[in-house]
Amino acid sequence: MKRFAFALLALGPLVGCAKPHFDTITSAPPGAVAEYHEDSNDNRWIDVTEGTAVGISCEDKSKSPCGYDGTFVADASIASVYHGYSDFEDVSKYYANPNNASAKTIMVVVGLAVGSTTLRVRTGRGDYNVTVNVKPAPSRT
Amino acid sequence: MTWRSWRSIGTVTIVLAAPACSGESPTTGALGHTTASAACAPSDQACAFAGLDAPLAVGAKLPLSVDVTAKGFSAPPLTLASANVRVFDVQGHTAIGKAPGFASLLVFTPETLVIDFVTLSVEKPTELRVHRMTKDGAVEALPMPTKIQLLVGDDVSFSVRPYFGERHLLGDIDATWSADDALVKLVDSGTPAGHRVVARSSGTTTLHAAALGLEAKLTLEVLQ
Repeated sequence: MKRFAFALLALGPLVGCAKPHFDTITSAPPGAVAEYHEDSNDNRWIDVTEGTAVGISCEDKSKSPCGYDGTFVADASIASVYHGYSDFEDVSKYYANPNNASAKTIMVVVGLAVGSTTLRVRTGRGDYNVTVNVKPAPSRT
Repeated sequence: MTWRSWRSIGTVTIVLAAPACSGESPTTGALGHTTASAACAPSDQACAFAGLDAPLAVGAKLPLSVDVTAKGFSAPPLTLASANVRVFDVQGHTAIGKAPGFASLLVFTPETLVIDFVTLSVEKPTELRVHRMTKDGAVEALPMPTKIQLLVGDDVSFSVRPYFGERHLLGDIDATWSADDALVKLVDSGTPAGHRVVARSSGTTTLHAAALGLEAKLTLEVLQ
């Protein structure tokens, strides 16, 4: 029984327990926020300050690069998403065959106006929603 | 070899390395594929290597030089865009300061791929200061004192820079210049913030430079 449990854990990434993987790859400027978050309930969100951009890398649950075609932001007045350039310094290796590798998908999310909207991310293993919360810029006097 | 002798070798190494390490470099983009700096006179190494090391002044124009540093291909045509045009706008490859704050400058390829981005700060200048310009068009780093002496026939170029407190701000500003025409001749040097001053006859006058609702002064004493 114990062996069966271990086997399930080991196979988890390949049989549906795996999750897509997002990472913040750029820093926010001083006084701003530009971060990706997720919780154990599969809630995913990005906090970004109005007027700033954040780079997010994305791999699907098989550790393949996410797609870009089909990825969009629901309310383009609040945020926008662009395909970011990535080279082989940013590499994904597949679970199924670690010898196969390709450049990671990098999305550049830009906070345009204060509010919240949904980033719909297309991957080869399904689509995922990421909430984008655009925060107000610090007030300047 | 004793610790003392190792230590002296280490000291020499540090001293030799210091000039290379202390030099500044253009600002690297957030994705690491480009560098950005103000577009500078070819001989102005200080400007070229300073990068975007200060906020852009409200009302100033900053011609940008964006170089692709990614490996294995030449730079494609690049388009620049502001993520918040209320903070700064972009015309061609020139950023124009609009209001205090910060916003990202996005660098696009023709395929609307963001190859990189960098966040610019914008600040409202609190004063102008007069700087001397070198013969090849570079602006000296330190501002002028309040008074200088010239000899009749001297030909000196000056520029004004916007400051926020003690920090100089980036960007070209359109300044208007004035002084006593009997003592010095002002010549438009073709640079937005600069002017040539040719001393004509002895006496004392004040050189005024005005821009962005601010004024800078420099007392000129012309000697025979």
